[in-house]
Amino acid sequence: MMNSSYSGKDDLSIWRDFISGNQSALSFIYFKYAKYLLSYGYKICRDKELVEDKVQDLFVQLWARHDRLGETDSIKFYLFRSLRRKLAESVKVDKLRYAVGLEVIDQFSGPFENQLIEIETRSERKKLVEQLLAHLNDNQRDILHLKYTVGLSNHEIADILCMEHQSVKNAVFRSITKIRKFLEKHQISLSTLTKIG
Amino acid sequence: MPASFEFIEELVCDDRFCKYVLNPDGETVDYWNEFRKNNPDREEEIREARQLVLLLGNENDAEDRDTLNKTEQIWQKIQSDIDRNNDTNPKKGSRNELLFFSLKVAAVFLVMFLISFLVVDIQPGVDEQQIGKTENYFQRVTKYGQKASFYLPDGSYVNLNAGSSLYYYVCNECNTRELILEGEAFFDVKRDTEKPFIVKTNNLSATVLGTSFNIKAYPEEDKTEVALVTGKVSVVGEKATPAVLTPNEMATYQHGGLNTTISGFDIEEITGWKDKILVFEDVSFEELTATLSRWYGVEFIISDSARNIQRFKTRKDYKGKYNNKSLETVLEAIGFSYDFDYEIKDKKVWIR
Repeated sequence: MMNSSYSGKDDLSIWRDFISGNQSALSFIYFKYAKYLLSYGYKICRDKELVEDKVQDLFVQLWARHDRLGETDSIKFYLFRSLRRKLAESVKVDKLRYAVGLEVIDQFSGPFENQLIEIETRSERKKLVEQLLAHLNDNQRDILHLKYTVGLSNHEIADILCMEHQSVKNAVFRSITKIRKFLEKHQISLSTLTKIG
Repeated sequence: MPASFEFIEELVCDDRFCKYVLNPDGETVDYWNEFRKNNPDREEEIREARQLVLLLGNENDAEDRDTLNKTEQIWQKIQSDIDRNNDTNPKKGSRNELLFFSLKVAAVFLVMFLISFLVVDIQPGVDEQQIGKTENYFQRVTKYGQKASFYLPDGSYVNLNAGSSLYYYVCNECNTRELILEGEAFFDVKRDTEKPFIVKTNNLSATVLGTSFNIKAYPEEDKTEVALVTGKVSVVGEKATPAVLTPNEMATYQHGGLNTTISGFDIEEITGWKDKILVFEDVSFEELTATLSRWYGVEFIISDSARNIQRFKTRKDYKGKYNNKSLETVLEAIGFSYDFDYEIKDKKVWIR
């Protein structure tokens, strides 16, 4: 009884605890995923307050219906799909576009051109990734975020974005080819990039 | 996995490979170890694919301070929504009632918001520089008769005993995780060796990396107790030399004293409260009533004649254990031991 912590438990058992009415399971799920839901929401929807309202609604409703929910072994997938649906109900679907800050692109059209640059800090790496993403389209950025930052599978992403599974794979494939070409052109070595903490 | 010149793309696209890099489990690791053993000529490509996944997975704003702050604010709203739903069924209310109710809730929030500034400002024993910006501070308060348990943003778990308040802040760039406690709490701290977890009370501070421990620091008591269950904790009383506890040791700091006493403790006596077990071990009548008034949210009114009875003044040997019992049951037992009559009326206990 000493340890009430859920860290290390799998999604299925945390979810079961939650649907049986345990409020600390709700709190655990919230603090584990809310920040990722917010940061994803901000990327696909310009109305920040709307995103925050929807995240709030999502968890309030989740709790209100906890005894009527089925099982899931991927809480993450469940939450991201719900948030995306909620946002799509409030704005036109075509407005949910994965944006990259425009000023970032302008700022960095210079330094990355035709010169070997040293990427040594976290913020430089962050800017590089933003620059890489700027070379992709909205849909590709959306997919890469869900795939690598959130960690969802291709099938889950296809479900969330209402796409064919094969189209998701193709989009990832094309994005990676583009990114590799960019890195090669600018002679940016990945091994130094990923060592930065 | 077909061999092709696009092998790196194949890997970066593959769900199982991403899992291997970002969030591996035993099965995934076994699979890829086997794959690498059978395809030693693929090592270079696997390395590049891995670095691509790491690069793309690394960048996100989820840990930004603004996001974490918002997360905390939204959680407070969710909790009040949930509490409200428990109290009333919103479907029954008319629109006007709902609007009126929303305004009331908004007013309560405004008052709480203003109070939170006051409370943080007058918080004794803690200076502004020590705790950094007040704007990132959050608080959890339990009334008498009420307990709470919740996760902190860093994943640590807290049980907060009755009549206590815990202040904490959300700051990702800070080198420490600092909290201010008044009252009693049990912490199950998420391990993070880079960021020590520091609990400050009026009279001492306890620093840990990852552990579980109980700390009791009610302002009306003249001592502060830190009891360690697992891990390691260092305790510094305001005037005392630092003490380091190992599991099953408890530090007692008598306020104003120069020493911290270290002793063993009974785990149920110290941490039983979080499982609703009320334990008394050699306590005085004064301690007994103080604990009961916090636990049940009542006030004790002791008649002068009772107060002067010697056994109320001198006895320090009361023992008892109550597993989720009503106040009446507990008072019956204590009343039998001390030989007193009592009456409960309007959250007040009269002892004659």
